[in-house]
Amino acid sequence: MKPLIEIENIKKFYKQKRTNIFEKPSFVKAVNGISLTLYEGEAFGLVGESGCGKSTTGQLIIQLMKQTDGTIRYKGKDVSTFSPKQLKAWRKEVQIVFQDPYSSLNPKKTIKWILNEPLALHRIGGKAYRDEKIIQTLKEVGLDTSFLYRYPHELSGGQRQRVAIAAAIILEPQFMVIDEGVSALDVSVQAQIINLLKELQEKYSLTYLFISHDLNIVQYFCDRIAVMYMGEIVELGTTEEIGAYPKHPYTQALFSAIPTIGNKQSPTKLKGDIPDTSDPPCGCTFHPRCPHAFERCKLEKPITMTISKGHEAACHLIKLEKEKMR
Amino acid sequence: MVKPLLSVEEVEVSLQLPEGEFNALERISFSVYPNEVVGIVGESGCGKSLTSQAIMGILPKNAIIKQGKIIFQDDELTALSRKQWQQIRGSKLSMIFQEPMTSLNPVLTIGKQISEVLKQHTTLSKKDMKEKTISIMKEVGLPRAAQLWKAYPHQLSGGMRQRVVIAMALIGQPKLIIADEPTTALDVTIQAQIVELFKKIKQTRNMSMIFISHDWGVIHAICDRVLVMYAGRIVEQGSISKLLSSPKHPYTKSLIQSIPDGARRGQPLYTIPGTVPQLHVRHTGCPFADRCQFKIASCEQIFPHTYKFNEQTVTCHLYAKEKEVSL
Repeated sequence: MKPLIEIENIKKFYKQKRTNIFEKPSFVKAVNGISLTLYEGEAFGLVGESGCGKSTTGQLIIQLMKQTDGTIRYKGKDVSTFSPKQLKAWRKEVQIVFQDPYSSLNPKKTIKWILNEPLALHRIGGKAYRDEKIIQTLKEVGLDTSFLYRYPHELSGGQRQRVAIAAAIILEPQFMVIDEGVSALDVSVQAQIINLLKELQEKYSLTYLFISHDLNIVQYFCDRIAVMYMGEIVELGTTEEIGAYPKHPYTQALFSAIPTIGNKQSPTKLKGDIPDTSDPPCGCTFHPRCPHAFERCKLEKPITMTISKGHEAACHLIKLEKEKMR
Repeated sequence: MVKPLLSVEEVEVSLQLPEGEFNALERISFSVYPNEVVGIVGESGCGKSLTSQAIMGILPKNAIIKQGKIIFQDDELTALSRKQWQQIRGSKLSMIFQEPMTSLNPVLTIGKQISEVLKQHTTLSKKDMKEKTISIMKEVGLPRAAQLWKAYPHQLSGGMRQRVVIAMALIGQPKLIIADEPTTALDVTIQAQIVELFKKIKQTRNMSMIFISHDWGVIHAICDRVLVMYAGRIVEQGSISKLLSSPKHPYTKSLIQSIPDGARRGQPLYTIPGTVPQLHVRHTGCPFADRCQFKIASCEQIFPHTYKFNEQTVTCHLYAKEKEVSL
């Protein structure tokens, strides 16, 4: 498999307002050094609690905002070296679908206008070509021509999300970020949209970055999963590996907390909430909530260790386990 | 036979819309027994929230209860005056809403908001009120209750805010709490904590709950009995274990089937074609007929009867024959 996007140690810090002019500026570390490689044609899941930086990561990758540090390479080329012209051309190939189809579509414009906009911006084809392309794309997402002159408020949540997906695929992208794209929908509609995304992936060999807090869906939809906590990736691996043998205590807690209808083992309970990102705990950022934390976790930040091929996690316990094995 | 705490009998609620007047809830009947947790599931637009609003007497202005009775303990709720309602809400009946950010007043402290219930319904002194508030805050797992008493909602995280809302609902020691999607807006790990809290409340307090959710996992963890609603009607009800192991109504079956599951990766997810019919296009037959894969001739014209199987009831034509056999 060829790598499509390589991210190296990207960071995004936000400066916080000072309350006192003599104070040192403090930063919120929304994303704190993430490295990832996304391969062509895969569905990559990014999971974590709210505020862990998963959406920021998604937006950094498609350059909706500039990173503080680090590089993003698309097909081997550094994105930050792109000229404005190149950047615009590149934007055709990367698209994003947002969570809330109620606020991501312009309420004053018809569906036809919404779908025509990306084509017009990139000056693709003439009027006849565009009209045909719009109708064709609408059909692909399961809507018919009767929707052309309707407004977003006339559609149901599922239909709106289909329009949002149509607006993203009309430029025939290669890479799509689905930022909580199905979270706001009912279970039955969710299933329809997930199936649609799968179909489109097969048809266009799309690569997805699927951001969600719903682990059931991520496990169903994605080939690989990365678990984020406080701006860092704590575990990464194939869906099968992570689902069956989660190594990081946070991943274990996250997966055992999924409410299921099957036979129920009691979930690993986590104490408290996510800590304040402007003042992260020292050592391992997870130690105040970790059920297995010991002295070393408070002092030293764990490094990422490889467990098996393609499966890695950052936790002191893994090292301990390995030492014991010897 | 135990007397039900709440019984909803043949309630019909209609909505005034620009297109005309439509029945949003049609002949809803169910009971909640003491110490029981009843779950309500269904897609959005099925009337789950409207049912809870009808019980709490907080229906929107354009909705009226056209017929039916809602009997709580010995009171007929639909006939209460505003004054009488004020005595019941908060002390005997209370409600937990989905979005903890919008259901708390941003300019009042947590302590004030929780103790307001006591101010309305009791004659306790200020000191006693504070003591009681702090003890309830500890019960719902709010840390440093004494300091939090003076905190404002924006200083709390989502999970803590939801705990505050739960404390507000509990402090009047109501007999029935209606929780409308109380965990939907929370993260999984926080959701697990809140579900745990609900379980604890269920064990330690002598009260009943109506729990509305679209998450079968959460429903499974908390509820004893479940109502499945579709297009303003209850189409199936029964114990949670029975519904999950042998769902009868095609709608319940498809709802359970469309839950995404890592184990079914690679196969397309099961979907229910179409959407919940809008209020103004509902016909006389079974509302689910257009989306049902087991549709038979009578489905589109005649609304099905309700058939009873032990503790499970189902409203569907498919069981007309079976019922005769089982009798």
